[in-house]
Amino acid sequence: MSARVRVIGAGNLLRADDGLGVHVVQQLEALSWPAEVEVLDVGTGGLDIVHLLGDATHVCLVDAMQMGGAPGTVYEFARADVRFPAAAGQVSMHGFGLATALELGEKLGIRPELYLVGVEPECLNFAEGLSSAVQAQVDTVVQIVQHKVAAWLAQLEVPAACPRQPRAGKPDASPRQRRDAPLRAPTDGR
Amino acid sequence: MPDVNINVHHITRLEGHGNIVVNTKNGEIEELRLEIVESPRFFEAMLRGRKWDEATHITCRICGICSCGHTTASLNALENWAGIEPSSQTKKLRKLLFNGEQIQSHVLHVLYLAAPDFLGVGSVIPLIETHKEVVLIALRLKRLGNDLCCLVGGRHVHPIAAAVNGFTKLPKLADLVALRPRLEAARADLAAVVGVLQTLTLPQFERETEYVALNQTEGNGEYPWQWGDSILSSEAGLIPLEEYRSVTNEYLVDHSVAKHTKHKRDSYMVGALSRVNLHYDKLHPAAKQVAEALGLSVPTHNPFMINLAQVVETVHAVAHSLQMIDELEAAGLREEDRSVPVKAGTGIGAADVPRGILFHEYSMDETGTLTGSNLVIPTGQNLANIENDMRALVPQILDRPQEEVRHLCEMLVRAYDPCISCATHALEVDFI
Repeated sequence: MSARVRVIGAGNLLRADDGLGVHVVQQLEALSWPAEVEVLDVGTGGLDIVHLLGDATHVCLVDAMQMGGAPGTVYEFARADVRFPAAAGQVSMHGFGLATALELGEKLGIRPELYLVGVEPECLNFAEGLSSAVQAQVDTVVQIVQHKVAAWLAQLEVPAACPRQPRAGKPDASPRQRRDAPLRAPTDGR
Repeated sequence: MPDVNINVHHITRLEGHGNIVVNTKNGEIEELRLEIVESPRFFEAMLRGRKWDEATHITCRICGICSCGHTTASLNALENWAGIEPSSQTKKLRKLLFNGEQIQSHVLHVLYLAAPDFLGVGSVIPLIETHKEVVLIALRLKRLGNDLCCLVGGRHVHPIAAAVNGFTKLPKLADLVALRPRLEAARADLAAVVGVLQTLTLPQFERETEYVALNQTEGNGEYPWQWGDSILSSEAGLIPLEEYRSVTNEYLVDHSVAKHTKHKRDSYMVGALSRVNLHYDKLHPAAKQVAEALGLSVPTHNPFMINLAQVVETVHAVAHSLQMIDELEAAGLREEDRSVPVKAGTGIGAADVPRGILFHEYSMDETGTLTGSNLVIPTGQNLANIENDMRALVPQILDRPQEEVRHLCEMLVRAYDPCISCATHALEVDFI
């Protein structure tokens, strides 16, 4: 069966704190989840979110969020509580971001219960790994998502089964994370 | 004749500058610039010191739209370095992955980005009211493309299973075969799209330029976009792939962080129209039929026709995917040797991704560690050509209201679907 609860991490692993959603999902993917839950790394897929909203009843979206707070500030809220500034000028496909995807979904009647979790970024330059301020919040975000999913599963009367045992030997050759290292910026501008 | 002062400032959150600047005085262009930034140089620096098998996973994160395209070019370059000829099974699966991305990228560009212009609305959102069926077709086709990428590549975006000399995880044959009815349905959806496009009028504008696309001298006559051993130019004929720098001739201009390129003329075009112009004979018959139905005869020198060429290519990608699934089903899927000999050397690979030919070049030391790389992206190659188009277009339309001039310039840029830095996707949020 397809997932009823979906956790989506978005962001660019090559743009420092923008990669938050993907870093969080990489941790969540290592946990065991009931069949009703799907955890997805959509990277910078942007508009792909629309159809990932389509067949789920509950969606938790994890992304870096620029709201003007101190770097590392954790945000969580329901979709109805916020609005997104109008989408950027669309001279390119790349103008289709998550905000457009959510608006499009709503206009098409694709409206799962949506919860957003994010962290205020410190650095969005070309670099791998998170800044220390954001890295320090990854575990918190993972826990917030786990609690939210557990609450939804209870609503859906799915037997609570979120054992926290990592699956063994899951291969993932994604760009490596540098949890303790400082931001790795290109050393050569050209 | 009124003077024109246009400064379209598209701020895309951070690094992405997509600005059009046009100023004319007494009918003469004083200033004309297209400022778009996508800087592969940062990624080249990120690659240095990494292992050969990380290159694909890093470069596929450059872009969420041509992620499979970067994957394909990267694997082609790495196999060139390692001296590997991938198996027939690997090639077919990669073609499916590649087709999936072409389908989703082209469909969205034509229907979500360009169609609102032609249908007289500002964006795709109002189209939901007036042309809901078109919006839903686009979503269906996009989902099909995504599912194809996910099934073969192991992830909706940023494929993980496609590796040098094979796949780390093979899809289930039954899952591939199960896509067949959806691909058949996509043909019907595309026929409906063609019906809508036939009712639209594209701006009449022509400027002949040099067309450049990937080519296969040792191919089987397939449309050569997923792999190639040479470059085909409408002006210069065939150039070996390893001499790609003699085609791109990258140079810096003051107003753009992205380098411009030129070959035989002062600019050249890459992308769907360039490919269709150069490789029309290799398109699937169904795609040729659509080209005819849309009035696209080659060579076409109207850049607004890029939109139609993308539809033609989408029809080709759908038909070709059905063929690949048939062939994979007949042969069956099996685990294969995926060994890779590591050595010092260089590798050059290319793929003709949605926006045009993409080059990856890597240098490796004897441990397989990257010592250098060069990525040349399609948009960089198109920038000078877009500016030249605009320089030719603007004097022809100066008698029109400034708003219309601005809109046509934007439409022209949009037709090329430039790659404004994939940049960041951090959400900007305001509380109500």
